Amino acid sequence: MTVFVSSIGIARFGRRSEGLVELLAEAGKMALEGAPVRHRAPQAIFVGSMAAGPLAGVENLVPRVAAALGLTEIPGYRIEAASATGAAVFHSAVGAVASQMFDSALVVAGEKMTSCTTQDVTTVLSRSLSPHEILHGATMPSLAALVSSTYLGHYSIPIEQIGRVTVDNRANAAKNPFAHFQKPVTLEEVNTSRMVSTPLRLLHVSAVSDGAAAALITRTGGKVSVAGMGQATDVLDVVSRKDLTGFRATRLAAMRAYESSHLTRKEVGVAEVHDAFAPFELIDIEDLGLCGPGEALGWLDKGHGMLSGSVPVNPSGGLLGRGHPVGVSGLVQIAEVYRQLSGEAGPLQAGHPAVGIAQSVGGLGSHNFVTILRREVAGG
Amino acid sequence: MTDAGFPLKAKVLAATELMVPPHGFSPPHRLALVESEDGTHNLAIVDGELPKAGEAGELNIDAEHRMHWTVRGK
Repeated sequence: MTVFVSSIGIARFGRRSEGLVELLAEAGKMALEGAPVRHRAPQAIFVGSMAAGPLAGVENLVPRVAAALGLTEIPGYRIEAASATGAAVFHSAVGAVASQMFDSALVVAGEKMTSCTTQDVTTVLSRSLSPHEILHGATMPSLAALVSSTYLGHYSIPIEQIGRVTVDNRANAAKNPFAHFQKPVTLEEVNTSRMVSTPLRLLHVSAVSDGAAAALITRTGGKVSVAGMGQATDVLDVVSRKDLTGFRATRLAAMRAYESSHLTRKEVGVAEVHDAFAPFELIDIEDLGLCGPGEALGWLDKGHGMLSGSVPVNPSGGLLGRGHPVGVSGLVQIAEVYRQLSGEAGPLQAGHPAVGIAQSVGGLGSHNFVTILRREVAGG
Repeated sequence: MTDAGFPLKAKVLAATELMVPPHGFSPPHRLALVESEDGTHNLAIVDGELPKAGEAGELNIDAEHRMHWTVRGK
């Protein structure tokens, strides 16, 4: 049973004065208004937020968002999968529509983070790590630094060369009206920004942000269809994993997504990947099979990931440029792939891709998702 | 793993110095991924300067069940 994306909505990322429910409603309203009239009465609403209570002081999101959108009385669900929440809520809704539980559903995900201090945000995000790691004072950036060091050391890549990931993604974000960061940065700025957790500097790390995204999905047509989906889990304890040069959960999720879509990596024409930390973009590219192990930096150097390249990577600016309101990123990636496939990406349009892939990392690689979308011949 | 087995010889695989640690820890907070002599991988708090990958040392455990890595002989 084919499920289509009829429309999408994005509430601009950045430091927003609105509350979480207002941001979710803004994105949801945009998706509803952008859909054909026959799709504007979804049968269910699926809401995602990683930490609405701790970060935004609000819970019980489904009736609040439904009411704000004039959808009170329809069924709804809230889904959570750490920093992959946005992808998880999309996958859940697609499953419900594909199984004919509902004919259509509105998927929304949002996060409100900038009201909290960085240390409070760090503490909340750390709760998705293993108790053993929390006991030792580990945080998301410190574990990402250990993974990054392992990857960079294994392939003898100096951290200074990784700054290009941020430079490229910030250049794209500067053309994306929905992105948090609207100014490009230079390699020197990246490599001299303050240290967060060695070897990761501030501009290697995606920013705390606010924002929301939405997608209206149906079984009755649309410009883009869901070609395949995959997800996988891994042990929480990062350091107990045998191989830290990649994320096994991404590799498994990608394999399942490719299998379910009957497509291969060679057919992927655009990719939105989880660059929460700059070295992760290289890991993600390799885990998706877009190039071989240890080849991602050279692959990027050859221009494959640029807007004009064979597989543009993070044309939206990625998490590094768009900002990372954690529960949204997985869904806004899907929305950005939709914009590419439907030819609606404006100055960031990367050719006319037929197939796009979105990859989201939950926690520190413990619950990862891959989504493959395909352009339909005619708009729905 | 029992406390009686400590200290263990352990080699640093990767280490980091965290500038903004969570509540209860002081900056800079140094952590290392270490491989102990029995081949297991552990996360450990580094006591002392930030080590380089490959550096050898000892792994101990404190009363809070936290692992601590130190340069051997220090």
